[in-house]
Amino acid sequence: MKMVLLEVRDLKMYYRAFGGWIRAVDGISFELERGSTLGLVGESGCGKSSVGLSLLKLLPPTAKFMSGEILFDGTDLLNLCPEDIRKIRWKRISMIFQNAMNALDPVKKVGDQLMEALTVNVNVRKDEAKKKAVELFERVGLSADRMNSYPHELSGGMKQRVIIAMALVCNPELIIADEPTTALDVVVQDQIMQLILELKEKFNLSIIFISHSASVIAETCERICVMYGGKIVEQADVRSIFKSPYHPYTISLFYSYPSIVGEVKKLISLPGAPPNLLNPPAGCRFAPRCPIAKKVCKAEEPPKFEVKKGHYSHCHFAMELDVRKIQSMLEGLT
Amino acid sequence: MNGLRRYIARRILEAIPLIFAIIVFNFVIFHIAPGDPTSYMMAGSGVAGIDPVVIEAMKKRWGLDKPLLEQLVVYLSGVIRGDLGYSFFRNKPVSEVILERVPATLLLILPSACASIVVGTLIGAYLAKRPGSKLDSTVSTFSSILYSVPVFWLGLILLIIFAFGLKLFPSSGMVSPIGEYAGSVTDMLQHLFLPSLTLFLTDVPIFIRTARASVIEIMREDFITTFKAMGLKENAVLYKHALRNALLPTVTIAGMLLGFLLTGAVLVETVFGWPGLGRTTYEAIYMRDYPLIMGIFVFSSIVFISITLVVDIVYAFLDPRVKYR
Amino acid sequence: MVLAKIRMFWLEYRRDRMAVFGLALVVFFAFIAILAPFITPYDPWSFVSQALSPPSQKNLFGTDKLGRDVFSRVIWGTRVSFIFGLGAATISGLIGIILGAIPAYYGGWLDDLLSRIYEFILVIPTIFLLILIIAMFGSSIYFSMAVVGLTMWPYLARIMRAQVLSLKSKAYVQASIGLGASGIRTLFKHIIPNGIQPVIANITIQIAYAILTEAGLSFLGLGDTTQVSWGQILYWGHLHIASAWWNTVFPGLAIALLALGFTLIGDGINNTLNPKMRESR
Repeated sequence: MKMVLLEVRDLKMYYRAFGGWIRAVDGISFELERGSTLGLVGESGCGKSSVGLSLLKLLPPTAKFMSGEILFDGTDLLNLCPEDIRKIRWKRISMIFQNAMNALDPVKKVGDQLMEALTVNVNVRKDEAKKKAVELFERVGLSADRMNSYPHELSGGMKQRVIIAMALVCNPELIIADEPTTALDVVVQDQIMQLILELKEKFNLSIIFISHSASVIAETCERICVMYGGKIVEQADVRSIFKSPYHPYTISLFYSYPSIVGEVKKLISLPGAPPNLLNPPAGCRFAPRCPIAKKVCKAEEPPKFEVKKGHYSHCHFAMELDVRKIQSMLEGLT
Repeated sequence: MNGLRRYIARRILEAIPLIFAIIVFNFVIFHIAPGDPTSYMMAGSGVAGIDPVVIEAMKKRWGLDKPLLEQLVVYLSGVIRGDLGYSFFRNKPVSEVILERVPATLLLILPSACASIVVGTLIGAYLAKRPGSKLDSTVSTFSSILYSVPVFWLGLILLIIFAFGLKLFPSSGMVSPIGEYAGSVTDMLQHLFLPSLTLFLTDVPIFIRTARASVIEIMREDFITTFKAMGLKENAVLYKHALRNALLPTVTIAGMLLGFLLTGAVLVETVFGWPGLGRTTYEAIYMRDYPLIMGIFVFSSIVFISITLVVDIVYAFLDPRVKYR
Repeated sequence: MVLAKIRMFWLEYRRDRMAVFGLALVVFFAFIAILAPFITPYDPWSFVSQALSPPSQKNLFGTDKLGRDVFSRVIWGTRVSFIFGLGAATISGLIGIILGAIPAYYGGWLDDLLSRIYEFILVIPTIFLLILIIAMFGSSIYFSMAVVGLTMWPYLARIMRAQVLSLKSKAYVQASIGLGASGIRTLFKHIIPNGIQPVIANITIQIAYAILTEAGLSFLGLGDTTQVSWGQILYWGHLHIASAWWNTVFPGLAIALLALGFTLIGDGINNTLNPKMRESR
């Protein structure tokens, strides 16, 4: 019997801006089972990082939740007061941040920062904290004497390891990893990904990966949500979606990054720009860039189709998509 | 630590040519100024009661009849040995006049500078929590006003209100000339209050602005989100991490502000008749005591360079990222 | 294109109430300066009433030691202070922009030399430098204005230099160089216009600083005694502070208001360029 750890229902989170609302998260629903991995993938600006920050309510003052629920282990996080949210932060849900370069305090030693993450949340003696820190440093593949280094003295990969160690320090149940490897070079990226997956097994973690790269998500996640313009456009198990995508945007996304395994495909970059989320157009948000868009796409918002069991697509033509034809049309566009 | 020591040594070595440049600059100024350079060096020598032997000795001492280059060498070596010339108006060497007046100036500047740094930084950091709030705009407006008020005028207004109007504080000097308490610590503190308050009020807005701007900047850094996500309370994030990082620009400003503090001190001492270096400068201008004006210029420049140096070193201690290139 | 940019800027700028107030103050004083001959009730130099008489209907701000009308003197003083502030800041601005931009653009020994020069000027305590030079070379108002301008430019040059260095690597500038535009042309057509806004904000603040400096120098007895400047009125007025406060209060208030006007404009420009400093909750 599988258990749902996190359920997000129709979440809408907008940013107040000069001239209206920026609809960064516009009606998103997904589930995460305990011990599983979920990927949120999409171009930058599609709202995927805002989803991650919404889960811990780490949003700037201009952000506002318009509707929806975030049920974490049965409790709606949106109803919690700041003090109760603070009790969940890090102890039950922690984060691995995007951009390892800046995610640490530049003027404090990394070991002290790790211990601070522990001591603010758990009542431990100083020497116990220290012992735990040493253990975690070794766990993530750093020697314990690195604890006395300042962030600028470490390489990008080492900093990312420190950040991972920090995320684990309070034994959380859920980790949100927002672009954990983006700033790193390819070999280090791979090492860090392997480390995260290894730790997941070891500590029985649930993880939400947020990335712009379909190949990173493909290799790490069990389930995928493809986001476009503040909405989820397709959602399925990783095998199903890679075998047969049911949304034109997903198809174009899978072609915009080289796959590490498998056949060599021609790389496509989609022309046009992502939609402006400040007062976005009616209808399907992908319509202006979609090769098969028809009149209805610009007028009506597409419904949710369950194309296979557990595989959902938000496209008016989901049931009649011809993947090969779209591929060749996309190739023609570039 | 070895790197730090080398860094300090290198910064000291870099300061030396600057000090030389200041002294040479001063020499050039009084040689290109309209009139006879000798008359600047010997200003006041016509004052009655000065021993002609002293005048002759001074002329000889500075080699005023020698060629220019030789005069420069004599001047440089004199200044380096601490001989800044002779004030004929006061019948004393310039360096002696200056050193006598330094303690009073320090007594005036130090407490108000420390207070404005601490208070200004804390207020600025607090305002950065809610930029754009009512409190923030009110304090910002006040600090813009204080920043625009001429420091000596502020002093004069305080004098009008508290000294002449309410008669709460004395109007001038460092101690009362007569009376029961004349010369006591209380008496001195009473004299110190208004000038210190004036300096504090003019300096505090700058630290409020600096701390506010840099804390706002730092609160947007990624690592602040990390610490919020970790479950730290908002105030802990603000004071433990943001403020600690924001202190770096404050230290730099505190160093650059020294010029501002000195300007304030000159004007405030003049307003309140505080017997420090500033008041002495005013008197020197009034009497056209050129050797003293030049001496104060060279002395204050050297102090200024030294403090900049100290600030750089403090910065290196505070910020582990400073590369000891 | 440029007009549209200025319009956009103004739409953003006018949302800042303090900045608009600053602009209003400066415009108000500008009118006073221009209309001075028509609004002064008396000649600022001539004796009109009894010495040191307090404010009254006849003499709005009272009279000074020589029985001259303080109100008329403050109004005339607006001209001198305006010219002094604008003149010093213009000198500083021109030198700062040129000596900040050109060496940064070409780099090499020229850039090193210029950086040494600003460092040198920045380590000299300005007030003592001004005292030394003005005490020795004379205190004519135009000379003081030039000297004040010459001590302020390194701050602007530093900002300009940083702007040029960051813009130089931007794509459109590289493209312009690639298309064969001459260096000076690229610098003046693309780099300076795009990088100058923070420099302008600081020039505005320097106008305020120059006005305050003139007052300070006058107060130390280094003002131009042939001019009716606010600093001069205040200097002669403060000698009678215990008996005639009006000689001190009014000219100082004028200085503070005009300096406040320019400071608020400078802050407003900075905030408009950098709106995160005043985001709403």
